[in-house]
Amino acid sequence: MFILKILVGVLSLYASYKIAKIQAVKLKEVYYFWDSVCIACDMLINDLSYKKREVKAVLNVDYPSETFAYIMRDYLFGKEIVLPNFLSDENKIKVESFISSIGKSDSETQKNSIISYKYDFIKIKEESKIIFSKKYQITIKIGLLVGLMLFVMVM
Amino acid sequence: MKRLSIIEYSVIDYLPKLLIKEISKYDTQMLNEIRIRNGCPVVIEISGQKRVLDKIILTEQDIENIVFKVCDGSIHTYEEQIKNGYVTDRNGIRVGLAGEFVLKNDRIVSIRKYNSLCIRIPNNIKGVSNGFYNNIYKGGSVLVVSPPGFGKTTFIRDLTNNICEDISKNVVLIDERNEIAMKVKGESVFLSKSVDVLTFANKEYGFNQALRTLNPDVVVTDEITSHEDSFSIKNAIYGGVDVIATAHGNSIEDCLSRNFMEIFKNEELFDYLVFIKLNNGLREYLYFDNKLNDLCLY
Repeated sequence: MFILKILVGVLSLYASYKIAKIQAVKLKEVYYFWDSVCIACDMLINDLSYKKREVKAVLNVDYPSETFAYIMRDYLFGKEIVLPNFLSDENKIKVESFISSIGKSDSETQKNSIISYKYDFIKIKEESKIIFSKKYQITIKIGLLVGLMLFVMVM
Repeated sequence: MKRLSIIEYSVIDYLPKLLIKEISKYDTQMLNEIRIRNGCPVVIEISGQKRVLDKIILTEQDIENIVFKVCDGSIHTYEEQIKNGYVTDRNGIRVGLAGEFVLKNDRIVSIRKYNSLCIRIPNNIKGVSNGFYNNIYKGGSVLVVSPPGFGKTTFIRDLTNNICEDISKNVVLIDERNEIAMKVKGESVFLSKSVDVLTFANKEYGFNQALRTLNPDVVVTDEITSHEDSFSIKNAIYGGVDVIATAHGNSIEDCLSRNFMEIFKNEELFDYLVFIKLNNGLREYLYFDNKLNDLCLY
């Protein structure tokens, strides 16, 4: 009976830690998303300045954020893009506006436009980095605490 | 002399499905042109005959979508072509653009508000120069003359491929408008791989570069249209390089009488002169030497 209690306690601690980790990783996904948007901006700006290759050749690559990678592939191959729910309405409009402008005009106009978008996206990325760093640790600690509480209650 | 059917052409990638379906009702083996105008029925040309597709009327937005798709979602990649009023699709089909030209510092930077497209289906007809190449040509410079649309580019393209069968020959092509090689994504749609192609280079630059760095035996170029073009060609011929070129004209005399062509008439720089004419709808090729003596009649 005692061993069973230990087992349940440990499992509760582990489960609580895992749930907290999943939540924390979601916060990281937001940061990775904005990091990927900034990477896409940089790649486009570089290419528009020099080689001016087709967008599929430039942007159909792997990104830190899988979510963003899927969105980009959908756009490049003519499918409807679906933006993630962790974006605010305002940010959804910005991202959609940026993506739908890719490839639609001459290199100079696009480059200027993308540079302008990039400034906004960098700010958002930095904010998400700060939020992620603060909340990641707190989330893990809360998860461990809850897990310990459950362990104590079970014992 | 096989031509593609509509479903084999790259136009199916970017033309509306309804339009493709309508065009497919005709014999597309002989399709020459598709002309799309904002708010007007589409007109197609088959074997020289124009046919109006009354049921298919496209809008400015449709035309813009077509251009975007031809550019494979990257207008900026094709901006140099667009400035010159056309884009070339992946099969080398040239789409002529008409619309409002956007100027910056008196230079064309783009076109907006497209109001029409002219899609020319190229004639990749092989063998048109075989008679000339096998029976008459013994090396030297060649000028091909005809009115517009009679097949000068097709002839010199085929002649270039014939010459390239001898891979020891260095053949350079100065393809100012990407019409001869029709290079798409770095590869020529119609030409042998052994040709050194300078795409979008003007003749003056192209001849300079070719002569300095590419050691050509033969330089091929299209449409002599100015004194600068003539001067570049003259220098090349005097430098010991054979030049194959084309020029517009209702006859050879008409062509050579133009002021920028006089130099060729006076100095007899071309060894062969080819004139293409239509005879009851069929092309006829007339060959002359530099003194306008008839060499052969086909």
